[in-house]
Amino acid sequence: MFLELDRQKPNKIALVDDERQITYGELILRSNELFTKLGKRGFVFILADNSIDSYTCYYMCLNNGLVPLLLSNSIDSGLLRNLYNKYEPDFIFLPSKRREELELTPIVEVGGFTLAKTAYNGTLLNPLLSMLLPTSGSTGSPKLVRHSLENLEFSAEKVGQVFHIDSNDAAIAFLPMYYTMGLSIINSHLRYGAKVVLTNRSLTERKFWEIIKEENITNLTGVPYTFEVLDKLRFSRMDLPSLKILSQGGGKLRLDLFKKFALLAEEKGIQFIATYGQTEGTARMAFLNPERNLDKLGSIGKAIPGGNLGVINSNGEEIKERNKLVEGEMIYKGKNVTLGYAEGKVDLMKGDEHHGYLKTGDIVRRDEEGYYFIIGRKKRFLKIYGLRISLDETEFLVSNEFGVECLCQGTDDKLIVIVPKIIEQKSVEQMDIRKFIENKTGIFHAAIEVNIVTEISRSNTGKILFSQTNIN
Amino acid sequence: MISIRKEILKVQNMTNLERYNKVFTDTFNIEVSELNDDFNTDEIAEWDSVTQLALVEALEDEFEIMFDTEDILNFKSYTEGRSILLKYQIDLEE
Repeated sequence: MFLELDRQKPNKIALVDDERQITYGELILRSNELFTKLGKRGFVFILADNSIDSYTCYYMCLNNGLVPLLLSNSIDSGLLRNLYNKYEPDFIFLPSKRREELELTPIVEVGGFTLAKTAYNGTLLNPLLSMLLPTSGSTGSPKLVRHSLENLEFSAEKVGQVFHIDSNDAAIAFLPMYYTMGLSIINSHLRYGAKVVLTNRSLTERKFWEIIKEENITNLTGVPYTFEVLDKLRFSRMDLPSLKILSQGGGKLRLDLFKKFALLAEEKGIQFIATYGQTEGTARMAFLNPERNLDKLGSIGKAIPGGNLGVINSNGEEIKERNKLVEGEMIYKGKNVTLGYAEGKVDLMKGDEHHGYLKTGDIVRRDEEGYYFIIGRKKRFLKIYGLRISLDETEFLVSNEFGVECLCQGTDDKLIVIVPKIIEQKSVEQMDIRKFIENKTGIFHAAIEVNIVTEISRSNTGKILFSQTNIN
Repeated sequence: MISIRKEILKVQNMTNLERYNKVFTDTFNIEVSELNDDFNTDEIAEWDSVTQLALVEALEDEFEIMFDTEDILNFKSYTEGRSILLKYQIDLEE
């Protein structure tokens, strides 16, 4: 059984959400009932929020050999249709109020959601394939990450070991479950019989902090932005007696905040655990032993149990020397390395392309003691407020919408969009572009800077020359 | 944390209310005429946790104050914000 949930006491609370709670026994029962309504396997789009109903549908899939693609319940309608046409799912689980957006035959209503049959049938799936996640939840990229059952089981088991999760723990899951780390929090805690409190509330809601206290939350995991918020909310002054572990992932935390929370954790007698992960590695791949927080400030630490980190040089050869400071691209080996990508329906037939070996795309420094530090990203992705933004995708979206050539660059707190001044005598408004990107990606508009330039310089092979493109 | 304010408005000889409004219009990218009693987290889709904190930070900078956790969590509407500011001796009626 998926995550060995049948080993847990059936009457123990498994999930709590903003409305109710269910036991391990009920979760299994409900997911089995849901499966009987479908009566067959297939490929399912799940437009999830952080609720018992959404997770039950997910669990039903994983436990019965259906393959889900997890998406946001508020995914843009156009992006959803794109994915729908491209991947042709057999079923879709979506908010009932969105039922009319596609041509569907409802099968059953589950709370505020509907599980429905689509017009498509029998998408061919590789037997290894168990779950799909988007590479970028925010731009609704059609590029997906293919996961095996082994990826998910291994990850849940090992992440649980990192945090010493047991049945007395209670985690707050506010990161979305369609986001790799959000899902990892839920799965790893259920794997060890803990309680998972799902919520769609944000840290700036009073109710969020009431839940933390009422549910005796022991584990809180956030992305760098979460820590900005915690800092802003004066976490130092908060009295949260049940809290044991504060864990961070989803990108690089500012060093001053890293230090602040490491010190605060010491003061409060809790653990601050920094981790590193990617969707391609089923979330967590490395963590820093909290005892080393202060002397290895900003480090992602070492590989999780059962995994291996390494550094390769520009020729792709692994640098074997230890006890020496080295730099290069970080690689990871482990059973949580996903099968590969899918860019269309036919890719769902593909098998394992990575064989447990992942080039992370992150440039790192490994110190004499074997601790890893991220220096920068090799590929063009930004992480803004924990949202993974593909620069290529954003360029594509803007170009399509406004019919302009568009360049994106930036840092992890600002997306810079460069567009030429006039396109076919039509002027482009900065505000319109900002609003559009905000709508499509969910990035706060103040994190988007639009620069209008006279023209975009290109090399003769058509490559954009950033250095020669003058920003006014 | 993103600070969207480019200049301290105080020096521009504005009233407290004008400064308060300006922080809102800058944060939400709106016109001042859109600000009323219905301007709150339930009605305004853009008013999420990110904007909430940007707003709080901008007000803290603008009025040189520091909110308590409780006040940050309670700051859920344009109108409520006015009474919260009063706790910090910022009177918008002046």
